[in-house]
Order: sequence, then C-alpha cells, then structure tokens
Amino acid sequence: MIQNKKVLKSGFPYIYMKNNKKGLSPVIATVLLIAMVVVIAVIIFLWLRSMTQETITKFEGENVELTCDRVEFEATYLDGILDIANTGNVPIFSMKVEINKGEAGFETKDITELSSMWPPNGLNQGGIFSGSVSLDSGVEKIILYPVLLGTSDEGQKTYFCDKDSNGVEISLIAG
Amino acid sequence: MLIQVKKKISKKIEKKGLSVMIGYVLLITSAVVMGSIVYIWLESYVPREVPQCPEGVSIAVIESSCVNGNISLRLKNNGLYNIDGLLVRGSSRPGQEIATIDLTNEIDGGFIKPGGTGGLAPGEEDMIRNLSYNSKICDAGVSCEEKNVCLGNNLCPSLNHERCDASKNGEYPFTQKYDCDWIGSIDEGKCVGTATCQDVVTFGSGGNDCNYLSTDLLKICEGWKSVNYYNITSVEITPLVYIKQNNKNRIVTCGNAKIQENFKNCILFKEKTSPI
Repeated sequence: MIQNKKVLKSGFPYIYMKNNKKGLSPVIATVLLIAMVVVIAVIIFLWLRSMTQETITKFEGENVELTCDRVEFEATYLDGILDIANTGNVPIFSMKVEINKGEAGFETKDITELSSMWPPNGLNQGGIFSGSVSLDSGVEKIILYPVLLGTSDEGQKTYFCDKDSNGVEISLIAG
Repeated sequence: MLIQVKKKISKKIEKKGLSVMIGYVLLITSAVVMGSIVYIWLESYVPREVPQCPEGVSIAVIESSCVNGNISLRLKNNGLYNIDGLLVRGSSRPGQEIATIDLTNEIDGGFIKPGGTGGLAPGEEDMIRNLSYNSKICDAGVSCEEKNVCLGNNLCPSLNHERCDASKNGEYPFTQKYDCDWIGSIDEGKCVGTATCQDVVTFGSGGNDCNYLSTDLLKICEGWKSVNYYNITSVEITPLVYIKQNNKNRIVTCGNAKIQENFKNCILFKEKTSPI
C-alpha cells in the first residue's frame, strides 16, 4: 500500500500508473464484444434466412404476397366445363385446384393436370379459359387459387397465393 | 504538488469523454446498419402504386344486331374518361355465367380499339362490326356443330304490309312466326323487327321459308348453306383505359364497368366449302 502511494517522476502516484495499464483491456473487451455481437448477429441472420421463404417479387419489386391480394378472377363449373375469367389486372400464370370430397378428404392438382386447354402463358388481363374437367361424383366442392409468376434471385419462380384469402370456392352439391 | 496531481487526474478523467463519443458513434452506426438491413429485408413489402381503373368509366350499348353470322354493336361512352380498348366476350351455353368466347379474334392484342386514335371520348359513339366466327374457338373446346342455315340479312324491312303480317302470324307463305311487325298506316308504314334469315328453321324437301325468301321475286335471303356454327346467347363488354404511370401508359381493365347484351337466335358461322 505504501508502495502504491509512491510518487513517480511524472507526478502521478504509482497507483494510477498501475490502473492505467488496465486501460487497454476495456478497448480489447469492447472490440471483442462488438466482434462477437456481429458474428452472432450474422449467424442468427443466416439461420433465420434459411428458415424464411425466398422473396419473390413482381411489378417493380413488389412482394408477390401483396400482388396476390390484387388478383381478381371469376370461376364457374357447369356440366363438366370449368370456366375461368381473369377480371383483374394481374396475370394469372396457373391455377391450383383443391378437389374436396368431404369426409373422404381432398387432393390438390394443378389446372394443367385437369385440362390440356390451359394456355401455356396463363391468363393475362381479360384472359379466359374454358375447358372440360371431369370430376368424380363424390366431389363436394372445388377451391381454385391462383399461381403467379414472379422473379427471385434465382430467376423466375412461381408463387402459390393463399387459398383462404385469394381462392374461389365452387360448391358442387346440387340445391 | 497536490493541486498539480488533481489537475492531471481531472485531465485524465476528461479524456473519458472521447470514449462516450465513440459509444454514441457505435450506437448510431449499429442502429443505421440494423435499420438498413431491416429496410432491405422488408422493402418488397412496401405496396407499389398500382394503376387502377378510375371510377366514372362507363359504356352503354345503343344498338345491337346479329345478322348473317356477324354481331354489330353501337356503343356510347357515357362515362367521364376516354375508353381506349374493349374486351368483347360471348357466352354460348344456356346458364353460362362467364363469357368465354373471345369475339375480338385477337385484334390488336386481344382487344378492340374503339373510336379514333385517342380512343372513344366521353359522349362519343362508335360502331363495332364484324364480331364473327372464330375457328380457334372450336379448337378451344367450343362445340362447333354443323347445320344448314338460311343465309341473308334482316328479314322484316323487305316485307310489304301483307307479307309482314303473314310473317308475324306464321301464315302462308310463311311456315313459322317471325319477329316482324307493321308500324304506321298501310300505305306509309314499314315492317320492323329483329327477324333475320337465320331465324328460318324449317328445312326439308317440301316448301320452306328460305326457298321462298330466296326466290327472284323476294331475294331477301341467299338460300340454305351448310355451315359450322356456335350460338351466342349474350355478349359481355369490358372497357379498358390507359393510365399513365412512371411515364408509361398502362392498359387497365375496368371490370366494374362491364356490361352485358343478350341475344336471341344469334349464331356465328362459317360457310362450309361444299354448299348443299
């Protein structure tokens, strides 16, 4: 303790000199802390990125999820013929058809599996489709929901719009 | 001596102000970096300005006809904006809710351009003619059946008072009733109605209306011909307008301004190469 109180030539007591030596370690600690935070943040970012869906955009960078809300189409099924009209301004690349058989469950098919008449480039604005689609007698309803073509980092990709919010349900139960 | 030490200590303490500044800089930098990352990540979720059809777009059918395999429509722009295009679709099956037959024959990229170069201005009228048979429809699943059709135009205007009454009542020499009616006095009136030669449905070895109407005496119809045909029960007309966005004209469908015109006994047909 007595030694610590010894005054150096510089005028500082020895105790301050000793404490000054520790001044470097907070800087290193801060650098380490920041480096660790950055590394952990990068790891978490990459991990979350792999868990989230790849962003697909349409119309000058708009997320295709938002574009789905602007899709407008009409669909009817009468006497074995499925009619679809794109009444909005968003091109519909394809259509998913959920065939619901009540208690027997459901299956989802692409429109191209059900009809060869679907245009290869889909339905542009004002586009119409009319094709013969044969369904089993036990089918209670069909739900059609659009598939859009957008762009991602890997090029053009299809995106299935949400069935509940963007789909059209057609009941096939008579009456 | 003590004063000197105190001064040096306070000087040393003041130096700590710099690290506070570094702290702030780091804090702000990290906030900016994080903000940028979040912005880049969520940027695609910012809704873009989308061209939409303005309210006040409206169109009306003033006159329509379906004669000799051609549909004609006189349309009027009774809205507030120019109409730059028209989607014209037909229904062919009874009970069909969605019109799926493209009657534009893919003119100008699938839609008709009404009016002049600037489209159909508010208050203007235009006649859309020759919406006719399209063999592509047959390839696309519409049943294009064969039948014998009495070719020719409107029936009523060519009939005199006596024949007009006879056609209305289905009396000799007519074998069926037609939508013709005499309006005005016997001498100065005229026969009006929607009946066309295609309304002649009887065809057989005996006498029939088409043969009668095609004789040199009347020459209203052109006689029986074998054709491929499909029915048109109604026509849907959807206006399109150009909306300027980012210095680009974008065509926008006005689904809310869609109108429908119903037809009776309207068939679009193409004469077969070998007449009967």
